[in-house]
Amino acid sequence: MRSKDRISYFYDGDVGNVYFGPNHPMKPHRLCMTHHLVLSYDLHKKMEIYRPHKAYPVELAQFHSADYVEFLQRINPDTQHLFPEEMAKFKLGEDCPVFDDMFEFCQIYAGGTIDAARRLNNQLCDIAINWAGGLHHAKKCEASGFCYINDLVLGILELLKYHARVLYIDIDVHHGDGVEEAFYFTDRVMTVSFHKYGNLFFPGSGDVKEIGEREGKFYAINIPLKDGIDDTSFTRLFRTIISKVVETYQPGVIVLQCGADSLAGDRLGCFNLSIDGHAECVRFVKKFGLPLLVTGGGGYTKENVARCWTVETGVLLDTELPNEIPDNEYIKYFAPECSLRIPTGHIENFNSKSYLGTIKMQVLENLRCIQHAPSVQMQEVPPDFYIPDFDEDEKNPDERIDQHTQDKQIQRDDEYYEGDNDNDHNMDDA
Amino acid sequence: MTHDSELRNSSDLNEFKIPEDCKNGLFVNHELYVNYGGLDDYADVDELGALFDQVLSFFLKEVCVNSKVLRPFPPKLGDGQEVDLFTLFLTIRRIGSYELVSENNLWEFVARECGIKVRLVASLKLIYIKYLKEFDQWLLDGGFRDGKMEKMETSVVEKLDLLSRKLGRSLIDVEIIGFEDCKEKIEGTSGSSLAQGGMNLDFSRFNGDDDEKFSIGGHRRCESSPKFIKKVGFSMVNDEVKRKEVSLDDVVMKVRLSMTHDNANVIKSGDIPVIDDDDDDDDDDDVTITDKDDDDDDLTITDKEEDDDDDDVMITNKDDDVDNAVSHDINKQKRKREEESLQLSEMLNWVANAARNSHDNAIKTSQRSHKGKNHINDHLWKQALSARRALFAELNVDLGNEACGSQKKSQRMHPSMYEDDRVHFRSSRRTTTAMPSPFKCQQIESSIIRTDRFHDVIKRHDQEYNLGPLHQAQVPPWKGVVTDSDPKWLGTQMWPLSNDPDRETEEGELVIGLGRQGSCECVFPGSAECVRFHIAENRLKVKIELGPLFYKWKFNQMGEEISLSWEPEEEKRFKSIVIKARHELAYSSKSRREIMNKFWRNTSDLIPDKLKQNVVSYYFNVFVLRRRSYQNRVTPREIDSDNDEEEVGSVGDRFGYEKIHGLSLKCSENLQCTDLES
Repeated sequence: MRSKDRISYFYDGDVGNVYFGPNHPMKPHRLCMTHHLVLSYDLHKKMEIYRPHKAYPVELAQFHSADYVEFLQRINPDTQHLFPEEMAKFKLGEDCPVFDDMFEFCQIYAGGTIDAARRLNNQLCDIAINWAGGLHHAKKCEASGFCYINDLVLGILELLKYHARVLYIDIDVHHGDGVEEAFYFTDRVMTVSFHKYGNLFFPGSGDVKEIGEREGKFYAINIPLKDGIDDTSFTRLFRTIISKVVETYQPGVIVLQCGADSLAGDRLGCFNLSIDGHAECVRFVKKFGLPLLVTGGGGYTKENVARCWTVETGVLLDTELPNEIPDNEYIKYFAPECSLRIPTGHIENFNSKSYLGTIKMQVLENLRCIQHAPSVQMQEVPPDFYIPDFDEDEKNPDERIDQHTQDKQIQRDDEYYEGDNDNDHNMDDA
Repeated sequence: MTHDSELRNSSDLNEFKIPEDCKNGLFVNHELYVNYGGLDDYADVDELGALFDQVLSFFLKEVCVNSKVLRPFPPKLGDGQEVDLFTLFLTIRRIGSYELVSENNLWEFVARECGIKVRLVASLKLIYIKYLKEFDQWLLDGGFRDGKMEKMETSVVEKLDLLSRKLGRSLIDVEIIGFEDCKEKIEGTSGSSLAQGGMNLDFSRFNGDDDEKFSIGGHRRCESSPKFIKKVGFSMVNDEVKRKEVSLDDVVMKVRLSMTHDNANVIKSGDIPVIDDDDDDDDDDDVTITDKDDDDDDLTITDKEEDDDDDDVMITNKDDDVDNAVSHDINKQKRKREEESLQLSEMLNWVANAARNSHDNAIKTSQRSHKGKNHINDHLWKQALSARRALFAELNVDLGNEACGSQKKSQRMHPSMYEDDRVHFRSSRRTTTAMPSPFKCQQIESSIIRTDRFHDVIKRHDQEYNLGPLHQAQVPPWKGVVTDSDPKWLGTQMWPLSNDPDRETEEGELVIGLGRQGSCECVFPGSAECVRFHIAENRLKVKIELGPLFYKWKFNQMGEEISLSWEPEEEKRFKSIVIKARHELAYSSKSRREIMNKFWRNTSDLIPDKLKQNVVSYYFNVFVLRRRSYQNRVTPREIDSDNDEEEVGSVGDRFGYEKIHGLSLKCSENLQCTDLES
C-alpha cells in the first residue's frame, strides 16, 4: 500500500451559503459542514487544499450547449418569469429552481472538478477530491435532479486529454444518467453506476440492459438495485464488479462519484448502507492505485453527508477516524451521540441473493463481450493496474471463482502511477 | 384534467338512477341485478324483504351474541338515509361473502347497489358488520334450527326456512355458475335467466323507458369462470341484447366486463375506446355491443347514435399522465366493467395526481380538502391501497427492471419534495422504539407498489435513449497524443500556507484524525459550559492555524457565533418570517415560487442590514442549529434538521441565548480571541 499519495482537496467558502430555496432537499451548506468536520479532524494537515477557479462559460460549453450555459448565466430569480419557454426547455423549475448566485455556484463546483482533473493530468497529485462536484444528472441541454452543470462530464473530458480510457464509478443512490448519456457512444469512458432502480425512482433510467451503443456498446454498466441494500451485499457486489471492470477495461484514471444519498436514513435515498460500507467502496477503489478523482454528489441528510465525506477523506488519506467527533461549531448537528456512526436503517432489504446474482452474472457477461471484442486500444495499452487484496470473507461460491482468478493476479505495489505514464509516453511515440 | 372530471362526472351520475343519466351515454344498470337476480320470482321480493326484516330483528334481539346492544332499526347512515338491509344482505351474498367483498374491493359497488352514496361506504361496511355479518353466518350454519327457535312463531319459522332456502339456493346457484364452465348460454327471458343463475345482468337501459323488454329469442350469454368468481366474486358478460322498443334518444351500451384479478385492467381503465355506431338506420336498433374477439379493448362501449345527438359519448383520454402511465396495449384479454373501470380510472388518476402532487396529498391527510373532493379521495385512497395489496404478491418478483423511457422526462428527483409525510416517515424510521404509524408505512409501501404495477403494465417503449448531438459529449478519438490541458487553471493553493516552512518536516510524524478528547479539566465535564468552552477552544486553535484562511473559508460565519452580529430584534423578525413562510407552504395554494420570492423580499425588507447570504448563513448556523439542539434534548429520536417546513415546539428556541449573548467567561474569552486575530 502506497502511503504517500498526494491529495488535492478543493473547497470554496462561498458554496456554504448557497440556498436552493425553502425545503429544497439539496443544501450546499452540507459542504460547509463537511469542510468544517474535515478540519476538526485535522485532516487538512496531510493534504493540499485548493480554491477552484470559477469555470468560464466557454469551459462549461465543452459539454453543455452554448445556449443553455448562456441562459444559466443570464437567468435569476427575478427575471425567470420572463422566460417561461426557456425555463421549460431547459427543465428549470421545481427540481432545479433558479436561485441567487446559481450560476456562480455551478462555476465553482464545475471549476473544482475541472481543476481536479487538470491536477491529475499534470501529475500534481494522485488523488483529487471535490466534494462540491458530482452533479451527475445534468444533461447537455437541460438541468435535471438538482444538477445544472455536469461537472463530472467536464472533468472526464479533461481527463480524456491525457488518458485513453477513463472509468467512471457512481455509488449515488440515483442513476448517473447524465454521465452515462454523455458517453453513451464512446468506449473511451466506461460508466458504472450502482443505483436504486424501479418504482419510478428518479431518474427512471439505469436498467441493467442499458449497456451503451455503437462504439460505446458494453461500455455503460448499470447495476440496478432495490430498496434497502445493506453493506454486505453492496460491498461484495461492488468489489466483484469493479475488480472485473478494472481488470477488463484497464482505465488510466478513475472518477468516483460518492453520492451520500445511498446511506441509510437519507432523506431521498432508500438504501441501508452504513458509512463504513460506503467508505469501503472508496477504500477499494483507492487500492487500485490509479489516479483518482473523487467527487460528492447526492446526500440529503446533511449531518450524514458531512460524516460520510469526512470519513472518506480520511480513507483517502489512509487515516482511520475515531468515532467521537471533536467539539466544533456544528457539534449540535451531530448530537446527541456526537459520533461518526449513523443509525442503521430499518428498510427491509429487497435485494434477494438470487436477484443480485442475476444482475452480477449479466454484468459480467457483458464485460466478457469487451474481452472478446478485438480492440486496438486494448492491445496498445498494457495492463496498468493491479488487483488489490480481497477479504477472505467471500462465501458465495460463484464469487469464489472470481477470487480464484484474482488470486492469480500478481499484486504490484510499486511504480504504479509511473507505469501508467510510461504507457502514455509509449503511445505518444507510436 | 378534463378527462378525469368527465369520468368522475359520469360515474357520479351512475349513482342516481334517473333517466337523464342516460344522456350521458355512460350508464350501467345494476338494478335488475340487485333486485331480482338470484330469486325465483321477483314478485316475491317485497315479501321476502319483509320476511327478512322480521327474521333479522328477531335474530338481533334474541340470538345474536351481543343482543344487549341497542341497534336502531332500520339503521341509518350518517346522512340520515336508511339502509335497506335486505338489499345489502342480498348483494353481499351474491358476491359471496363479506370477506370476498372486502378482498376485491367491491364495497363501492355494493354501496351503489344499495343506492348509497359512495362516500358512505365505510358506514355501510360497519352496518353490515353490526347487523348482518353474524346473521349471515347464522343462516349459513342453519342456526335457526336449534332450540332458540322455540320462541319464534311457527309461521315465522317457516318463512325463515323458506328464506333461508331461497337465499341458500341463490347462493348455490352462483357457485354453480361460477364453477361451471365459462360459456353458458341461456336462452329465454331475462326472468328465466335470472331465475337460473342470478348472475345474468342486464346492462341495457332504455332511456326514459322503464319497461325494458328483451326479445324472447334474443340470446344472452353468461360468461364466467371459476377464477372470476373466486377472485372477484362476480363476472358479468352481456353479449348481445336485442330490444324491441326503443325511443329515439335511447342509448344502448353494451359493456363487456370481466373483472379479473389482473392489475392491468386498473391501468388500462384510462384506455376506453368508444365506438360510435352510426350505421343503424332503422329504429329497431340492433346493437351489438361486445366484441369478443377484440382483446385489446378492455372496455368496448357502443354508443348508438340516432337522430338525437345528445347521445354522444365523449370518452377521451386526454390526460397526459394517465396516457403516460397507462400507455398503450399490454395484457390483452382484459375487459372491464364500465363502472368499475370508471372507478378505477378515477382511482388511477387520483393516484397519479397524488404522486405528482404529493403536497396536496399530504394536505388531504391532514384533513384538508383536496379541492373539495375529499370524500372521493378517501375511498380512492382505500381503493388504491387494496389494489396495491392485491398486486403486491404478484408483482414484487420482478419489480420494474424494465426501463420506461417515456417516463424519464417527466420524472422528478424529489417527487415528494414538499411533502411532510415522507420526511416524517424518515425520521420515524430512524427511531428504534417508536412504531411508525401505519399510515406512513402504507404510504411508502403504496408508492412502491403502485409504481411497480405501472412498471409491469406500462407498455415499454424500446429503450429510447436520448441519442444524438444534443445529448452526447464530443469525445475525440484517442490519438495517443496528449492534448494540452490548460495548466493555467489548476486552482489556487490555499493550504498549506505557502509561508509555512515547517510543514515538510512536520508531516512525517504528524498525527491527524484525533477524535474528541476523552477527558478535560473543566469543573463540570460535559456540561453546556464545558462543551462551549471546547468549541471555542477548538475554534481558536483553527483560527490560529488557518490565519487568513479562517475568513476565506468563512469559518467566521460558522456556528452560532454569527448570531452575535444579529440584533435580537432581527432574530425575532427572521423567526416570524420563517414561520409565516412555512405556514404558507403548508396551507396556501400559492405557488412555491411566489412564497419563496415573498420570503426573500420579506427578509430583505424587514432585516435590511443583512445580505441574503447572511440570512442563509444565519438560518443554517443559528436557526436550524437551535432547533436541532432542541430536538437533541427533547426529541432525540425524531431528529431532523433537513426539513425546513417542520414546526417544532421551540422554533427559534432561545435556549443558549444567554450563553452567547451573555457575558459569561467563555464567551468573552471567545470575543477576545476574535479581537486578537483581527
